[in-house]
Amino acid sequence: MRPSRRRSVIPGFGISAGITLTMLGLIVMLPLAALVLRAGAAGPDGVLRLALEPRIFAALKTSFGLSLAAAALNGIFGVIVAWVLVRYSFPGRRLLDAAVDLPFALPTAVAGIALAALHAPNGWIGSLFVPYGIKIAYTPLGIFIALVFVGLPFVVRTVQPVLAEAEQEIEEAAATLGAGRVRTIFTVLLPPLIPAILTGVAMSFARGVGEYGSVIFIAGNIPFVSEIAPLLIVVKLEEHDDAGATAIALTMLAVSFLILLALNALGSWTRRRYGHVR
Amino acid sequence: MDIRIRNIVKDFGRTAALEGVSLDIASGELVALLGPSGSGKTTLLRIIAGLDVPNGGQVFFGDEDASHTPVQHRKVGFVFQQYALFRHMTVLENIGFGLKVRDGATRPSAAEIRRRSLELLDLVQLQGLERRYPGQLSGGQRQRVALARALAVEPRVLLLDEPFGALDAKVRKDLRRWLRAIHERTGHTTVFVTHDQDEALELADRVAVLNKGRIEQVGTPDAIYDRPETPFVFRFIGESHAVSVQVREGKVWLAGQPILMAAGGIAEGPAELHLRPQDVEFAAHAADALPARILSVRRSGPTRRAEIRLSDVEAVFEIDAPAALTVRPGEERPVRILRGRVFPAA
Repeated sequence: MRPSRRRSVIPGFGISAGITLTMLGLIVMLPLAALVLRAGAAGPDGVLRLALEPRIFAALKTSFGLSLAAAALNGIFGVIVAWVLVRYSFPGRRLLDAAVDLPFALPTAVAGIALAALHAPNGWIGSLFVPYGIKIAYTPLGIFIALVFVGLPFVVRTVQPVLAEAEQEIEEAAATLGAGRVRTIFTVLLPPLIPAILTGVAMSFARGVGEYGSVIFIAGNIPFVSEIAPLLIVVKLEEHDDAGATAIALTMLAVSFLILLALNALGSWTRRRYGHVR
Repeated sequence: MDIRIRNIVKDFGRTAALEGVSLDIASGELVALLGPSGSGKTTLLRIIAGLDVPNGGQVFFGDEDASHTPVQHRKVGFVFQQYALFRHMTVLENIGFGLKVRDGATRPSAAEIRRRSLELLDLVQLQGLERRYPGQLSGGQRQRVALARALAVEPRVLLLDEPFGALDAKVRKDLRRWLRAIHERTGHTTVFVTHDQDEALELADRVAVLNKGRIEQVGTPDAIYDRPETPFVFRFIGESHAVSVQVREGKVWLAGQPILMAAGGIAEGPAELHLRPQDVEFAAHAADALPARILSVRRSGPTRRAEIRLSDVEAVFEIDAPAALTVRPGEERPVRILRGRVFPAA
């Protein structure tokens, strides 16, 4: 299929499309296809039966549930962080701005060990909660915190540029028309940000589902309680249960794909609804 | 609603934006705040609106001291330079916003909001565009939506910041005339900020000329143009040139010759004569005229604009000559000063 015949300054639809398809095919689709093929040996029934096995099902629930919860929280805090970084200038703002990316750069195992040490019952933060009977490390709460940590930069970095482009006069206009602060935030400022927030949340969620290194140190990895699906895959592989490992992987792939598809659909709907950017 | 501004002082850190500005605006009046950038005109407008808080002074709306009323409760209509429309709302939602955000008892019903928004859309001549988004409108149309949105809240005063600044010349002229017509129909007390003297003189009932945080002169367009009270106003309004002169025995002396002008109460000694291109003409005879040399000539609309140098005082300025008169660069031609304003030397 050819795009419009209008000449553009940079020609070469053919070559760029070729490169795109080759890259996507080799780097993304091929490994996934191999996964599907491997699991295919067990047949769809086999995969489903394995996925519904209680321990695996519990791990999948933990992974997806906590990833969604962490992504949702990041959706809120990421916007606030982005807001502070864009709107206010204060000493150390650039440092803080750079620090947002640290969860990207830090080896995940390092982050996991640090978080576990902090939130353990004898750690700086963990010990504060001991008197209230709240345990953070080695529980799902610990997993949640690790996932918030690794996912936060996604929301901040997708929202930041959109926020930077929004004119400050918009808020002033709302104020002269009589709108209070809360209403200005929710009816004037937030709606145009929703598409970007959803994109960030989707990326944060995707990262959370696949996250391994930072979680296993803080999770405690107790079956049925704080065991995540990626860990279970490793466990299955160590037990030479390749069929079980591929079944979990395939299930994760399918569920992730569906959730990301839904988030993207929601994103493009809100973009049509709210995204009337000049 | 009449507005009284008393002794407003505002500084941003170390730089003073306004240094004691007072201004009275009568109910229903259309006033222009005119000045170069950095003169404090936009700051003054924002202080009237309540968007900026002054360091001192008061703003009265009628008899009410509004100095401490937050912007949300001042009931002003503010049109921003870049319009600041809500891009995710349709034109109709934008216009109805101010009514929709009112609380409980004072909020009109949805049907009433719609009716009034459509009425305003009519007023600004954008019928049929109610479902469009701001991104789908031209600059002039956005400007009109911004005005309709500001009018929807039934403001006590309408404030416009460089209302035509972002538009091209043709649209500007049309909108100017149209804004004047709207003002005559609605009768709102209106203050607008501009750096364009033509805009201020053509549109406003009265013009306040600001410079460096102070008001230099307030008056009707005629008074501002014909009787500028300070050298700054003379220079800022229309084209002008200044020549050093002497005041002696009640007369103005230029290059040892008295010129046809009374000194008008200026102290004896050195002074400055300000001239517009129309204030000087080429003289037929050397008698009673100043010798001058023509430096360059170019066509400027219906007249010829000649740049000349007065031979005796080394002063260069431009004069308007009739197009029928042929003058050439390099020629010696005597000139006569017809009018001008003398100010004490700075």
